[in-house]
Amino acid sequence: MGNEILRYQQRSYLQIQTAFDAIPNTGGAATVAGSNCALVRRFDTDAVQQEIERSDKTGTLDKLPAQGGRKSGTAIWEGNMNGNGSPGVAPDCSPILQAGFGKVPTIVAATSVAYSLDDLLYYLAAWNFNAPNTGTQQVAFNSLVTQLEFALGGDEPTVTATLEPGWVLDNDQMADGTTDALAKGGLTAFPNEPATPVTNGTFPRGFDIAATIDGNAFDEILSVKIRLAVQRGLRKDTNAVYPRSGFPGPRLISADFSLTDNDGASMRSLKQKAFSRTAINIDFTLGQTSGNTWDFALNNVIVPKPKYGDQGSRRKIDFSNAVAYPSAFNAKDQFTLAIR
Amino acid sequence: MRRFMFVGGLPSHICNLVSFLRFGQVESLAVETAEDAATGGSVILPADDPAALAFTADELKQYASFGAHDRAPEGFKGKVFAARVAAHHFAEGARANIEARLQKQGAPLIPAPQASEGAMEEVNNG
Repeated sequence: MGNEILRYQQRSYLQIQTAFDAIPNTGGAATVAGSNCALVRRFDTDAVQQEIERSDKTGTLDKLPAQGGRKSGTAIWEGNMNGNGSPGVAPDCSPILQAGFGKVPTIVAATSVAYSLDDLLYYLAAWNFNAPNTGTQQVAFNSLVTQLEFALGGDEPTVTATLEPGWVLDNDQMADGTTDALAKGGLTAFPNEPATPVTNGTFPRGFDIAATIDGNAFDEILSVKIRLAVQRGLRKDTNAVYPRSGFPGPRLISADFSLTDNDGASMRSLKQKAFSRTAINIDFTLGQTSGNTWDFALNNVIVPKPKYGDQGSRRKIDFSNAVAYPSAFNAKDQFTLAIR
Repeated sequence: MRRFMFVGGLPSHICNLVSFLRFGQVESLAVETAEDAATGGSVILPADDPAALAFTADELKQYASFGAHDRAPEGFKGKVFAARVAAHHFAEGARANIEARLQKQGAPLIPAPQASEGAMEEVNNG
């Protein structure tokens, strides 16, 4: 019996590709390095191939074997919101954020890292290494990020990214002489995990939230989820087995948040704005430590009608699917994330 | 090998090698290792950089704990800011050096795709 693969001995490495179909490499040797490491809570990468069932009548009640159809992949990356701790230095998960927002972050040395929206496509090579290196090692490449979800309110704040890979290559495929060239992403060999992965910082406490809603501070926040969903994707309708290109798509930025209900003026105003569909600005700031303060700014938010429920001995109020909109056509200013 | 000072605000780990657990910690590292760490977010700069030399031994002792920086005097905070700007520049230089090394290894950084776009490269692959 071989060595069992333990789920704890997993690390992700994230690289932005500079070209479609090309896992970053020199002369076929992958350039993945310790600097690309980002710790994960969960990272699943799976190759997918469509089954084309044959509709031929066989003269019996049995079918002929299906054919292999289009190839693609699925991936979910979930990590804690580990900030670097030094202002102006991007967190380890920055490639995921960059690909999700569609824009290179704006870095001001020793001050801040800011992510804002744009329409650009960034393809990720997301490496999924598990010890021992004789086990299956994977890389999900030509990967687009189609959703980012930030979850605040618990002990550990998390960011979960949904990826759409073009293909998930592994060392087993690489060792198989029949693997076709496009599946290899330009590599001639599958690398071992870098020997000295670099990881930085830690997460702010997930419940350490300062909420400013419509200019009013709220101390009763229970939980927050912020979603950036982008309908970008890979084309799977052309004359090729693998996706050959990506396309941009519309964005939807939404938030769910829950508070303890009260009869204060700020809460009453928020409820009234929900019923009148008056757009408001919402700011959730997580953490207080320099270099690890995550400021989520949602602008022109239409807040949905409140829903009430029980939360222990108190009544809670939920606002689900509050949607942020740009201030003008193509302003792309409905959502920013600044880490200070 | 060269000596590097850590000026980050939270721990940083070069796994299997060294962990930076306090502000001002100095470690000897191979330059290539330090450059990879810097591009990976470890906030370090050469220990002989003027911005690193600006810290007094007393300051490094008193403010070794990351949490102690909040109550530090403005003078120390100014030195921290300057050191982090210097670390930022070191990381930028490191990134350029790494790119140059990779290109020097012979091949173009990103080789052309191995099959023509749109090709129907297989029809019945299980």
